[in-house]
Amino acid sequence: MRISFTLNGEPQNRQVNPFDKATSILAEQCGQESVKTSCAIGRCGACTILVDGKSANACLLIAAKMDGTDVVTAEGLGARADAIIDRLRQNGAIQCGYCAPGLLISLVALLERAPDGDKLERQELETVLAGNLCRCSGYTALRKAILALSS
Amino acid sequence: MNAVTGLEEKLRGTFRYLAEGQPEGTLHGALLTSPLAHATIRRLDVSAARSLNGVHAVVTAADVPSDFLMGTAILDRPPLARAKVRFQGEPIAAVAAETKAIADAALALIAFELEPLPIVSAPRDALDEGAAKLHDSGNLCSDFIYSRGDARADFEDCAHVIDHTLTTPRQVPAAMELEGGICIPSPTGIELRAATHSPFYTRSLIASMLGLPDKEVRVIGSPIGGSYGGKEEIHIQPVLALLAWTARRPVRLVLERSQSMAFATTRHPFEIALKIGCDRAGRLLALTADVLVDNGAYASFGPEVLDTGMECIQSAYAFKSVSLRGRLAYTNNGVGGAFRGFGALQTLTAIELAVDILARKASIDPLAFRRINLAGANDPGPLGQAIIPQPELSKVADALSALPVWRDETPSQRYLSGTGYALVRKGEGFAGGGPNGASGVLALTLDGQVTFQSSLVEMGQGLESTVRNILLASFDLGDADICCATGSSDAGADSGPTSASRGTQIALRLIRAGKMPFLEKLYVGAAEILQVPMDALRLGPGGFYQRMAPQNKPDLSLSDLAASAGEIVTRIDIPGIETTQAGVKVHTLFTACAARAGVRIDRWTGQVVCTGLDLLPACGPPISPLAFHGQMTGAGAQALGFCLTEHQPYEEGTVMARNFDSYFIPTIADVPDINVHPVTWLAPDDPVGIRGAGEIGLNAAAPAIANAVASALDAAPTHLPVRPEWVLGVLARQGRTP
Ligand code: FES
Ligand code: FES
Repeated sequence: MRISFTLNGEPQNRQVNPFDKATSILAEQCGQESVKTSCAIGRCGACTILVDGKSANACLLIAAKMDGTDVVTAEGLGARADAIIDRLRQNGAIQCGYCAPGLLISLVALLERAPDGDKLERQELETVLAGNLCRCSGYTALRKAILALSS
Repeated sequence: MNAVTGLEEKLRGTFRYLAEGQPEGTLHGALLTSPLAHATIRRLDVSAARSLNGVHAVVTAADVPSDFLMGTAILDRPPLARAKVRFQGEPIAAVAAETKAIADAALALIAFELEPLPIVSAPRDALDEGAAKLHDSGNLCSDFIYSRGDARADFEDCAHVIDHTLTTPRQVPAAMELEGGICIPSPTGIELRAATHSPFYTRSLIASMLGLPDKEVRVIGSPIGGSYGGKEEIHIQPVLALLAWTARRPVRLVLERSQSMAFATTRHPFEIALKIGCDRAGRLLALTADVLVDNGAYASFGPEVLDTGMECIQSAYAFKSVSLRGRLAYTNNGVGGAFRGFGALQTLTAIELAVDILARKASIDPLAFRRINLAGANDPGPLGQAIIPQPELSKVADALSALPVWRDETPSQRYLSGTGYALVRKGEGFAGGGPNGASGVLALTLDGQVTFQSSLVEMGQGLESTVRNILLASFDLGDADICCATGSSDAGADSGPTSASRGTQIALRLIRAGKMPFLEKLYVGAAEILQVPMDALRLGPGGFYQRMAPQNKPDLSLSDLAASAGEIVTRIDIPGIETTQAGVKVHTLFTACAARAGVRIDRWTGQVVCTGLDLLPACGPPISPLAFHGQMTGAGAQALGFCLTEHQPYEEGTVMARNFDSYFIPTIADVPDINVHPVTWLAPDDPVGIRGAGEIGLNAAAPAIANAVASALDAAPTHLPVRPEWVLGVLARQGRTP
């Protein structure tokens, strides 16, 4: 079947098979290597993308479901992510970086959702980010960076 | 300064890992793995798979030279199973095809018959007389014996003696990036892009397998998307290289998580039986240890892991007498291998638990008890070897005592809380006989950059940023003038493995050793071009300045120097820091670290939560503070997993946890804020000046967490990870269940 969607603002028209996952279409056909596959069962968050503004695990998404949606990957975040990246840099929150694009998407979704001036609670941050595994960092610098950013 | 290079690219997803960005026409590689844990291969017929349209290579053990085996001390592992399979998930054959669908179809066409053999599922059974043998040499892969003094007699003099046995988990490295890579053949050789800690070692191994000269194999081993030792092992590179060399086409082969959970080497489960005793004053008199290790199916790093574990089993304490025995047994439970902590983590956790039990029995505060027994600054090493003196040990103990007191958890009906301590040391680099020496290059490249070239690899630990900091501190240059080239066999100099916490130490010693000879070449070149004496010149940001006429701009830029003088290269070789003692492999350089952990235990559910963790590593002044901090906090989280959540169980050789729905690495919600308090003091005459940060945090954090559980429950864990059922059982026995 053919599907059309926008990817980072660009219209796409792709031939997909019924069993294709969004991960393989985005990474292999659309060259979005930011969409990584690590667990492929929705546990690690390495494949996180935005679909119509909400974060989603691409590995759990049937490619056909992207039809008619607006998809954003870490590669397409542009200036939306500048402030977050700055904080993560200052705190040294990223190491090998394999988790990083998925993490960045989750953070953008989380911080853009929080109404202006609303302070992000530690528990909310942890609940949302528990779906983004990072094996390197121990999360300490990440938590510090983001809680400070939102306050 | 950044903790790691490429941070923004990593976050935005434009950073390229080695298995990404394959050339046009790259084939899809796939593996046929064994469904059985122990079996004879009766038949293996790949002819139908080979003749399928779109298949370009099908390889089996028949395509590998019959004497080619892998390993370190013991060579016993074929890259593809030969005649026998020894663990579930062992690769039997591999295919390279034009699409994934064709590769899968080809796998299904491979006809094979396995005849089951009895499964060796526990190390104790493995060493039984009548056990099925995994290898012709028998199931004892290696052993370790050491004694000093007369432990039996000294136990007689003890006022307090305790026994404790601890079984540790099979922890999986589980890097987010899976094992895999891309291999691109040329008419005469291959380029292999796949994670390794040792590009040169991998190169010669692959070259010998393919019958190629070393120079025809190019290995690019970094950047790595996480390793922790897991990718120090030779993983899928030989199969990948074989596929590409056979197909004469580029091949990409990346494992799936479920394959990786069976195939990747894991932390060895240890069963550690300890007996220790002290006199009335709390002085440790005697230690006996009997250690049995589940090695899995192939030797890999097992013998070195056992040796390191046994060497570190006395932690940072001075025992009067010790009697140690360790055995490493082959089983059909996957393959054990290198993993941050490398055997020491297991034995340090056991001894630190035992020390706390004994201190409690002797009614001495655990910190005071540790102080009484701390090894002296100039004492010989744990196995009697000469070591670099460790006067910092007492500073670490001081810092641990000086930590601000925990805010007290509000006592409640439902929760118990506990605080645990640990004070440990671990050998750094390789034990005597290992590749401790290293080479590197300082070069002024044609584009005018002072570049440190090495085959050390970047895996997220921040090696590149650390090297940049060392270069900036060594040469009066600007950020734009320096460069760090890592991670491949192109380096022209083999720096040895990036492992055993040695990366930073090696880089620092290489740059220090090369600095003067390199500078001299630069000054000679500059003086000749500018036609002034050398002492009239000064190297500064951008190039050379004439001392007499201070300028904003260099009189000779580095690129002009390179343009006239050509590339200026200094090759550097440094010897290892090592000693060998008859029969026993020992370390010379030790790193100390202390830790304090807090836990909260839910009496209703038996669940243990780590509520706080302080780490006090004595590594000297951090060269790259953010990277250093990250190494410690990352290690803390892995220690938490080791103690509380992570274990790969095997049942009769069957892998039980195949993905992150049954294998639990800690999430952000599980890990508390980890506080790092570096103890930066090292002796002024310390010959190295720093210690590596890679492993030591883990080795202190795990025993501290285990001790916190013991203090909360008044019962020391016997198995890690601590299971809620065990906690509830202890509470029931104590009559403390709500
Ligand atoms: S790959 Fe999608 S959540 Fe892990
Ligand atoms: S930085 Fe390596 S997994 Fe997160």
